[in-house]
Amino acid sequence: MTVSVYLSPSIPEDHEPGHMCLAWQKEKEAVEFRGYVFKVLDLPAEYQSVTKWREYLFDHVVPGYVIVDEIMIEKHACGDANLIARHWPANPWHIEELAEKAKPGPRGVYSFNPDDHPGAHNCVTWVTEVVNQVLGVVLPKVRQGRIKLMTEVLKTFRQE
Amino acid sequence: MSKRIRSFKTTERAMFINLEDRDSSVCVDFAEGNILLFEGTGPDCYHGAMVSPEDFRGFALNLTERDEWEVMLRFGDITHVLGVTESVEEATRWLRKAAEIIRSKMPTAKTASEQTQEVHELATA
Repeated sequence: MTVSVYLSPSIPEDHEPGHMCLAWQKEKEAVEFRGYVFKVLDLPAEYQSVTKWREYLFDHVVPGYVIVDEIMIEKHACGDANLIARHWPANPWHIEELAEKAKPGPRGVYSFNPDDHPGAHNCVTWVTEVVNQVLGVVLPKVRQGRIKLMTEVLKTFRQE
Repeated sequence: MSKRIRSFKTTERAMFINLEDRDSSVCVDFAEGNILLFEGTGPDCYHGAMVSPEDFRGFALNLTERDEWEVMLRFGDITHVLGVTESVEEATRWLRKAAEIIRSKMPTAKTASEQTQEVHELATA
């Protein structure tokens, strides 16, 4: 049994901001993936348009949602070479606790600057918090949950 | 970023739109009917965002001056362009199936006749 994190790195030249998710696998079962997102319609009406939504999320929070992360499932299934993964051995209790903490549905609040809003998360900080709560502190927190900083952390792990 | 659609894809778990420069920019998952938007950093993109079935207002196809079809998602008061394609038949098939999945996950699922009407509207949009 394993607990994993998968990170799709930020690639500015490809207009890719990146994303991170949590995953786990029981013996002989499919890998479960969970991500953390927001709903556009939870933003105030004047910030819901495609040109305005980003500026709101840097300074405010909106409800967050845990999802079955089909985007990362697809990337994983397609063998996306950019994906960075880190795996830890786990026992059944870890998996049970993880499944409970990462149950799809509304969970907490979302922000692009989670450090500025106590209790808020983005995809990186949500994954970090849940993994650390279940396994002990295995991942460091990175400033504002920035993908670039977590990418460096996971690359360092890979080199060990 | 052109948002030019390279392919419409359906797997056992979900449906995807792949752009020429980005795979899986849009996803409709079969289990919940959620629409996930992971379109990147462009000014016409949402990223890390979700639209729930209850907020879904439909899909539409809009013929542009270049004889291409804009694939549009309507949710709340928003009409958002998901991409541009020349293959209206393939787009229509994908959108019909995706709308059917999403509608079936709405708190009050629409009837078959209502869905048929929406497919007709889509095809004639």
